[in-house]
Amino acid sequence: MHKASHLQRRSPQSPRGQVLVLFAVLIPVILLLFLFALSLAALYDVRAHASDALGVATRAGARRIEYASYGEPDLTFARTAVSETVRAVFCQGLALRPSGLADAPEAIAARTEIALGYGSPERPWYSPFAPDRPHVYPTVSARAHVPVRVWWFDLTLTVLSETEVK
Amino acid sequence: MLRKGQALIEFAVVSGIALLLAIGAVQALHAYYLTRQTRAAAEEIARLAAAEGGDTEEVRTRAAEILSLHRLDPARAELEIVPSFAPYLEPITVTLSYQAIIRFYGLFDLPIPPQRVLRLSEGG
Repeated sequence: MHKASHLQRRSPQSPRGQVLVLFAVLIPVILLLFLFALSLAALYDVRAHASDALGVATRAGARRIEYASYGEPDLTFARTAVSETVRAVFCQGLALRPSGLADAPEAIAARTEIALGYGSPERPWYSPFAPDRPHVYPTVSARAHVPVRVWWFDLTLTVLSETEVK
Repeated sequence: MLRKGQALIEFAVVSGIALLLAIGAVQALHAYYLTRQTRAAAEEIARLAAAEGGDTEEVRTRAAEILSLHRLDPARAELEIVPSFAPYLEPITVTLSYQAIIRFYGLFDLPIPPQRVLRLSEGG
């Protein structure tokens, strides 16, 4: 009985406070969600640009394999030439849009891991970055860790590109 | 009775403001959605222009298809590709502007910012 009267006394007052508090909380929550969406979009743009730049770089490296194999069949020479080309072109690509990057394009390109394999139908080559895919042609494989700054947060995106020379 | 009346007035005020906010949020989200679609289309067109090495007939034809795929009206889009011919590994700038009329609360037009994408040319 005592409990019931207590509830009756409180119930008419509670909706007013609840609605106002809910309303006051809802607006910042909506704004935060919108900022979160903007952050995701910024991340997406940086990732798209970096992966495209790495794709151009591995294709440029693949061209060097073809050119290197004509004049200079030495594998060591080809590896050096391909790696240098991939890093230089990747750096050039990143430098086109440096906003959002938490490090200099030169430093990101210098840290990029590059592997070159001469796969053939008889002896497929497996890249160390994506070991589940056999390559039956000479392949340039590159993996870059791209540090990104969104608002006050530092994140690292990993992008991978592989180009086969057919 | 007095409390019931207060609650009704509060509800009317709060629901009115909430409705206004909801309309504004829908309009802002629509503008945001169009901006993202424009961005995605600009990136695809830039990839194509980079592969072709500049502004070609093929790029223009495919650009219209790409815009339609992203639910954008090609008639409202303006595409600029600079330079028209870029040698291998030279930068290409693709700027896509989209004219959409979203009147924010009927007061002013929400702008869709032009999307500028830079890529290295692989043609030429």
